[in-house]
Amino acid sequence: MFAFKQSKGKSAGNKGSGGPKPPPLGRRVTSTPLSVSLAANAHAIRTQFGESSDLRLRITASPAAPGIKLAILYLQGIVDETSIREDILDKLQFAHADEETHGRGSKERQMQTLVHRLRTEIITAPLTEPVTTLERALDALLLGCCLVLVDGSSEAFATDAAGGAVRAVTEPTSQTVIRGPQQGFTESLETNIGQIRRIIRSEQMIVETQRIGRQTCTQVALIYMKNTVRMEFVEEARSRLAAIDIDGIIDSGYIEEFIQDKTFTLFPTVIHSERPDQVSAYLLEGHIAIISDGSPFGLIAPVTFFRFFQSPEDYYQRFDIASFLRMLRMSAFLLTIHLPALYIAITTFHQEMMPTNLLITLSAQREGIPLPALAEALLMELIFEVLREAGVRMPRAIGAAISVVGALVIGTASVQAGLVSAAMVIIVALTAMSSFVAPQLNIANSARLMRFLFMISAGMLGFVGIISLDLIFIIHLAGLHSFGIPYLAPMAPWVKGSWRDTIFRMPRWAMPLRPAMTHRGARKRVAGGKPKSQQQEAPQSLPPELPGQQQPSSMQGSGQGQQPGSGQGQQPGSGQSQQPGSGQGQQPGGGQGQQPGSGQGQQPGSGQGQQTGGGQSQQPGSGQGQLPQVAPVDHKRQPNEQRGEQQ
Amino acid sequence: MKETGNISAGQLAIFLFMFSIGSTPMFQLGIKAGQDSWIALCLAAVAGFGMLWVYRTLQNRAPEEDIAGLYKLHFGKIAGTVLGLGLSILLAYESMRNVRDFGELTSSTLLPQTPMWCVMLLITAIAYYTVSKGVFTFFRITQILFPMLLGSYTLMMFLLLVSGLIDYKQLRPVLENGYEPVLKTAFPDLLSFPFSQVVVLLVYWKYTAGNNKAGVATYSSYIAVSIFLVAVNAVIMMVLGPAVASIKAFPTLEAVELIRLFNFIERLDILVTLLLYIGLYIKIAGMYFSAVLLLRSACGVPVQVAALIYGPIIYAMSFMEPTNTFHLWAGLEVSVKFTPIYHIAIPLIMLLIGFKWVKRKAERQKPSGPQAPTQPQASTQTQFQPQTQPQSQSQSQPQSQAQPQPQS
Amino acid sequence: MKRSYAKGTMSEWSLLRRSLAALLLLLLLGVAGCWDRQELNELGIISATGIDITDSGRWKLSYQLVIPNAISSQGAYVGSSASPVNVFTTEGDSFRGAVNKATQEMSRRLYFSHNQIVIVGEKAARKGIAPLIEAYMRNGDSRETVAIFVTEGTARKVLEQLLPLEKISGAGINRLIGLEEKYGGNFRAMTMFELGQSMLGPVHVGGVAGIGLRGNGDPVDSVDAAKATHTGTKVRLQKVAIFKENRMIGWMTSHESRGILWAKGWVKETSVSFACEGERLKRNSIRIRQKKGKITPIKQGSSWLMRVEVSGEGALMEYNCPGDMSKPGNLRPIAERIEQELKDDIEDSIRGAQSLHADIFGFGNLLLKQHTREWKKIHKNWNEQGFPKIESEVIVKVKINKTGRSVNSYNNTIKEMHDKE
Repeated sequence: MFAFKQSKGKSAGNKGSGGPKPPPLGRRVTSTPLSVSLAANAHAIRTQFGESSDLRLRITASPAAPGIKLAILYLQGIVDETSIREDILDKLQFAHADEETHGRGSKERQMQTLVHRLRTEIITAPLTEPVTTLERALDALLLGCCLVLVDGSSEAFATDAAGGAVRAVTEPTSQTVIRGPQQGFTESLETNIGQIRRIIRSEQMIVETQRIGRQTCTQVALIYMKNTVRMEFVEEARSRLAAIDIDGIIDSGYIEEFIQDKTFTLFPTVIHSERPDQVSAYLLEGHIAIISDGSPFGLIAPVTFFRFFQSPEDYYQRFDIASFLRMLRMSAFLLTIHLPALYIAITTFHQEMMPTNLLITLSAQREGIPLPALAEALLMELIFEVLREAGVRMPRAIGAAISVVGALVIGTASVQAGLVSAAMVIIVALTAMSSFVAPQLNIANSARLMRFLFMISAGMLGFVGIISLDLIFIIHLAGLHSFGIPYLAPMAPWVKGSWRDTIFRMPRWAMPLRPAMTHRGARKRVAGGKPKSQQQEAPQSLPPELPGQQQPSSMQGSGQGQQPGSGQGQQPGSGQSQQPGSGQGQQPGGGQGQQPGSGQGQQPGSGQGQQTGGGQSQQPGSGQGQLPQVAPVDHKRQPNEQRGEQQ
Repeated sequence: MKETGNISAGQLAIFLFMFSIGSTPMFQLGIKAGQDSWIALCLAAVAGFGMLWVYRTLQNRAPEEDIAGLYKLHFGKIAGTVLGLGLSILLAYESMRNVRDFGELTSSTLLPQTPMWCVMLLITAIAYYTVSKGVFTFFRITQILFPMLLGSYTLMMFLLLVSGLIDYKQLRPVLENGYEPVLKTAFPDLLSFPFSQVVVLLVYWKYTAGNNKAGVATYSSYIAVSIFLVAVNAVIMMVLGPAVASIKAFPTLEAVELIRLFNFIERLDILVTLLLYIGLYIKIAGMYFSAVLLLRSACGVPVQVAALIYGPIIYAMSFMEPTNTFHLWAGLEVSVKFTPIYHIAIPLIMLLIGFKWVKRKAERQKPSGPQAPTQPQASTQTQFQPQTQPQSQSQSQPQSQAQPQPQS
Repeated sequence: MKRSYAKGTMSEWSLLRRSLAALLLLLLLGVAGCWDRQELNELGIISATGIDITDSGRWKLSYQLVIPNAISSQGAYVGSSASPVNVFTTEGDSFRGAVNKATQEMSRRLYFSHNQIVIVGEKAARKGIAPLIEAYMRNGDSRETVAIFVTEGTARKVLEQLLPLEKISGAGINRLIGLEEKYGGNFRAMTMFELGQSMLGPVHVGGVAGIGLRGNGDPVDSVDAAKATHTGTKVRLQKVAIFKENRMIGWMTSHESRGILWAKGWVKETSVSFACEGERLKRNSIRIRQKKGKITPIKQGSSWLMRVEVSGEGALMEYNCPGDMSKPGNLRPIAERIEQELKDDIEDSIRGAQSLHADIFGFGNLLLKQHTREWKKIHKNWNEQGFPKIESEVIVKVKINKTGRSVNSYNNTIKEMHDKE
């Protein structure tokens, strides 16, 4: 990505003028022009780099510039030397002199023309950019460009030759699915964006890049779908990214900590994803994605609590198993948080709740145990956390042995030695298994921490402690926001129609509208109701179709089922917060469903805003691997379809 | 970060439902009427519906005001402020009563050894936390808790049914002693609690100003919760019978304790206590919050400060009553004689005297009114205004970087 | 030095406030301590309670304490041959006072929440059990779904007895009565709650199953005694104790108890034995499931008639009479004999109840609910004066659904073969 190049009209005065704006990479405040002498320039650059051994200098000459020394400079590890050779050196070797212009005009003029010709006509690197200051030259070198110096000209140029070894595209390491694409992000930003581009082939997908980090100048890309996203998210993201002032961004986790809504919370407000298909799906629904160079994890915002239990596999499998698994995940999450606490509460405070036989068995087990239940539980959980952490760092060779040690020694032997009760070991194992069920790692980490809090409160106050802590967490979650959207949406506040894809998932043809929370307006993303293949049974021998599965149009009608002529966006009473009669811009308040800048109410046929995205919606399942052809953009959709707003 | 906006009608309906349920299943209401308690409850519900209509009418005169504003409109600024302050304190008192209820309940059932101050401090702290988060968060909390509560109560009823404990014959003979005891129980006791506690809605209705569905939502929610309460009351009576129900302190717990299924489902009264916990919490937080909001409307105290004022007051007041008996007695004898003033009498007066002119006065006041809820509360910052104020100066430059760069 | 947060800085006040709140809550939980904590190995689980009374009128409570190690296969002491239960007694003026004395004898705190049964000695029952019901209602830790029994001797003796197949005899007896209620049809479990309800009801009469030790041998009160293949003494359900106004007033036989259960519709399944035509020995039996048991008050002049309607259906289990059962018509006389059997039972029970002056059928209840005004006139001294005078009418309908896997009686067939030869 040749972000080294300045956008036109922006900092045109920046090159060499050292104007009021700070230099592009935000760190250089001076601006030293290059000298005319190649040796001096090379020397200056070399000094800056402190004689690093990976700075390569190659003096060459070209028939196109007879008698003039040329030099190329590059940092060895981050360029693609093959392309340097092919695009620069080879071309220089075989260039012709331009007889016509050669020798005409003043020396300077000749030099300028020569350099210009070198840059634009002879060198076949895809991107070239003139360089006139030392700082720019340094930046160019650091960004993986190859700097071409011409002796006698104070103007050099840089070509994009970025390369270097990157990891090949492999399966994502952490978020694997059984069915679905098996490609994951790598550390190279260009590759990652390329992977997303391969999925979303739409010019509406906008990629904005910037460099963040004083020393690392990490390129960070903000991606969104122009026709789908709500611009307030984009603006908010832009401002948050722009405000980051830090030494270096090593992983997207650094960025996450800066852009998240609230730091002192146990719950993540940003999803990180290693899968381009997941990122693309979220983009299509109106989220924004932030990908940073050097990190295979992209960030997706804004997200709500229920998103953390949705795995991309939910959308590739059929809806019944997907719904079941989703509900299972949520139950597992609750289980992993509450189970040890429940065990402690029941065995220590409310023994009457147990069936008598269980009580007797547990009593017998606990007869010789030295520790009280709370201490025992904490101890076992901590040991398990140690085991887990060790498993992450274990070299593969010893990994198997340690798991055996962990399971057998610590688990079974300590039971037999009478140090812990068998029930506790079972509970810890169940809890641990349940904690791995969450598809997003960050929520699983939250669960790990929450578990300890619950255990302690259960140990103090029994069920009252558990429920109190539950309440505290619910209060906390209800007040949490992610980029302005309440964290517990779409359950609270209730977003109409969102039930189709939160706790369980309806079949794809039954989810015709995009999610209302993140989407501007609401576009139909799946046209029609039940697909044709399911509507008409094979003739004769099969039983007649069930009523109500017939007309796609009725499905549409039932899909929205309301507001003829009441416009879209959210109705004031439909679960969103809205400014009554405020009349201006966004006060998203609770962050749902406001028409950007449409003033009061919604005028469905207003023609701007709503319509631009209208065309896109008709692509059946755009980007999800369905029909490859793109439906023609049609800016005049039928008005009634646009009114269908809820999703 | 404060939000602005409205509460939806659905949120209001859910809040009303949960709030009215509150801790009502804890006691067998109307037990003085014996097995006709459910009839008494029905009558009180109907009367409460009438009061709800009165409240709604009052609210419609000035949809963007809350009850303190209405007081000011009807009675003039000074009297209105005084009345508003009075109602605020009354609501805080009722919140305190519920805190004490919670303490007593927990001490009797779940945690007999834990000192009550500890438990009451816990719930007060949680209520304070809720209040400090703001109105919208509070309504969201009730929304989240709603399916849990409803599902649990339904499950409870279902288990009672399956255990074969319900015997409808216990409700007979109907009206054994005639109408008198029924009527005497219904008014004013049952009307005050639980049905005219909907007066707190007068504080929250302003957040739904401009929403046409709010009225319908309120009414339907009220009907639903009345049916629910009557049903629960009837079921418990059917399980226990009038004699036992009148002896017991917590009849619902008793009834649930009798459930014994499959040899392992038993002693579910613990779970019911937790349901009551949640119900009490909503009541406490609801009233605490409305007291705080009223303090702001009546006297202009900001919400956070008012929350900090009322929190310790509520906690301290809950120690006022030395014993449980005193507490129950105070509830039954004393407060049901006081609260009708604010719940019934004053609204009726306001209804009668303010017939036409109030609405006009409210209209006149609206554009300049400092109490229009359209304005953000306190120092609002929506998320999407530039938050980078502290470091906006030099950092605005990098914003130029963020401009879309054409992909070359 | 500007902060490097990307967002707006959290205001100092809000940070302070939040952390104060968090600290407060944490401290709170910390201060909460663990007043209510009770580890499992600090509990003494009681599975059965016995109530007796001394001559001086003090309550003597016996407890059957469960020893978990001897029961469960888990834990440090596996396969111990210790007795699974331990019985001990304390005395006191009040119930809870007696319980409190146990702390002087017991190293663990008595835990009543898993108490399964309560056995009341006859003497204590006759003295009055109102304090018992009161203690149960007021306390939270003991369940009111415990089953109550009355025993003729002392309750302690029953508690000491081990049951075959059951580790804990308290739970075992509970199972016993459950089984009897489901399949036997002679007795019914009475819980403390129901007893309280009946005492508070309009007629103040309730019936409680009786239990006792039957047999000639020594009581099985040690594990060694239980090692034999036969037990000399057994725990057995026998007779029904009738309580009136919190006092026991007498016994009714099992046979009468069956009648009561049939009349009130509490039977689920039972076996009824009946005789052949003209014989005395009841050599045949049928397994009947009750369908209906209804009592209706009917006004007859100035007094009342209690009409009992009972119906059931079942399958023949044993038939030793002559007769060809392949014709449906032949089943009718058999059914009639069964009906007569049941009718006798019920009439006996009515007579027994009337002679005891106890309206065990709850007739007064029905009058209250259905004919309230008349009830108000006659409810004074109902048990003594009103109830014994009422007449009764018993209507029984039995249907023989199935005749089992034989069509004709085996005995009968052999006899016919003999006759032919």
